[in-house]
Amino acid sequence: MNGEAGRVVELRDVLVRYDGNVVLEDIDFDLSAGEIVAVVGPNGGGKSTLLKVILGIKNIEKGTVRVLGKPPSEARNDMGFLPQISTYKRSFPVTVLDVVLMGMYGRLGLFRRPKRREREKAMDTLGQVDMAQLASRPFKDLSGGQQQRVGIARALVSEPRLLLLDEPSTGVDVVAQESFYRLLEKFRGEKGISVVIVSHDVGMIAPVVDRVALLNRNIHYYGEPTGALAPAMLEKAFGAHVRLLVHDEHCLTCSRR
Amino acid sequence: MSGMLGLGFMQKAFLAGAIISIVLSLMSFFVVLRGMSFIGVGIAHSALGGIALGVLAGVDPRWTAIVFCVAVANLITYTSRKGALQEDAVIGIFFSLTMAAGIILIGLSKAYSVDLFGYLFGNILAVSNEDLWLAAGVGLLVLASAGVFFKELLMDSFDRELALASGIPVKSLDHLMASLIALTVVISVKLVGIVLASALLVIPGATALRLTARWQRMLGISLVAALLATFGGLSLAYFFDLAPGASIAVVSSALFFLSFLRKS
Ligand SMILES: Nc1ncnc2c1ncn2[C@@H]1O[C@H](COP(=O)(O)OP(=O)(O)OP(=O)(O)O)[C@@H](O)[C@H]1O
Ligand SMILES: [Mg+2]
Repeated sequence: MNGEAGRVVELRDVLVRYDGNVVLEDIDFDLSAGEIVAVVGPNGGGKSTLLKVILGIKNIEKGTVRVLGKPPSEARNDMGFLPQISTYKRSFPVTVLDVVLMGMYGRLGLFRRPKRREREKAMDTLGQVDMAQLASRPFKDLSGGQQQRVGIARALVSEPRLLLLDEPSTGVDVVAQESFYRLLEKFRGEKGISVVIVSHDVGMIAPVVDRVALLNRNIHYYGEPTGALAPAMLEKAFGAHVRLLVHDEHCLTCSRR
Repeated sequence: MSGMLGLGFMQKAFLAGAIISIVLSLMSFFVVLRGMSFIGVGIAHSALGGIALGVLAGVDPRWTAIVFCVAVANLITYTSRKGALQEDAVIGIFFSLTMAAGIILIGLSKAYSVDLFGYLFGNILAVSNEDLWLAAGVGLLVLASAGVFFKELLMDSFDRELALASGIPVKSLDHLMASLIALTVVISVKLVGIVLASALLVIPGATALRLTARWQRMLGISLVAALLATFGGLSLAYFFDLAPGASIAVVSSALFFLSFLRKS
């Protein structure tokens, strides 16, 4: 069952605990080359944990994880990661360009510093998210949405085959979100990159992805986006949380908080 | 001025001051960016235990202090990672335990010649050639180690999750930083003493961070702030007959408060 052609991520029967509490259970999850999928669920549902398992920075208690047919720790240089906002230190003295360069540290390895080639690549990637003009600005002076875009550039700069984005649209305005999804499409088309996007909001994300996974400790649904939007499905997966998850304008009973 | 610098012991004091300012300014850069101020204080105070062991065993206390401090630094790092305890509680416990043990041991040794006050607050006017060589050698080791892993340390300080995801061995970096802080403290003890070494592990970096949002400049400003504090403090001490270690710390703090004159 392993090594199926084009399989980028493969999780089988994964169990994860934090301090004894089960956070993820019976997780089967896979992703093919060039696929863009969304992982949706309520707060504490285990979305960020799932990304950390794929990255190999959270240990699993049971099951198997493969990325590009290898253990995650051996596939790190093929993954680009955007952490959920707020994990970095606010007043840290780095410029926008410094932050993007950090996306190449793993590839560079020990003892090698970013040189001109890396700088050019970083500037190029900043251009793709429309942030090149702010390259030399202190990162902390940017707005939240601008910081997210820089984070996306940092995740993309090493030309990963798998992109893991934890709530990339937090604080990003609608126009920027659309251009961001177009950017993902472009990368998929040109480089066959695969993407996992974590989101709170099924309504927003469903139209732009190939598949949706509904995650709340278990994966309750993984398939066509339309299927994930069915109220009965959402109710089953999330119970009372449904209202928080759907901001679709066609949903009459749901309101924007 | 030339009178002051014509004196052999003042020349040595300035040279020692220059060496440890360079090392302290780099360590202070990381201590501030990694939020390790309290770890620095804890490690610095454990030096007294190491010194006492040397005194009691009749060995050169500088060497026992190096071994002991590095060991305690790594123990603090390990315990705060493994234990259910908060890191600051762990540090508080080690800090008082090792310091108290040091004082008891020094008491037991009945060596009345032990200059406890000197170890706590420094005795820079008594810097020997051996002290200078030790400071230079250990200082170079610290600079080289931090330099080799600079980009990894920087990224880990910025965002640990990102560092982990890039395959950077962050636990090892924690132990490296703790060990380098320990070494820095030991070579600073002669100049400013244990109490003030822990202050100088924080103040130059904190001053620099107030003045810039670029790490390259922060490094530079931290270095200038440390050198100014050391040379300024030593000169004040010479001309007004003040305690040198304390003067250095006062000038260093004054620079920090001056940095508030610049609107952030
Ligand atoms: N470092 C940690 N230590 C202990 N428990 C943790 C840790 N990280 C996450 N958890 C727990 O694991 C569960 C899942 O957390 P996770 O961050 O994966 O949720 P999430 O779906 O990303 O939530 P959110 O939408 O709020 O980002 C939560 O119950 C959380 O309390
Ligand atoms: Mg999360």
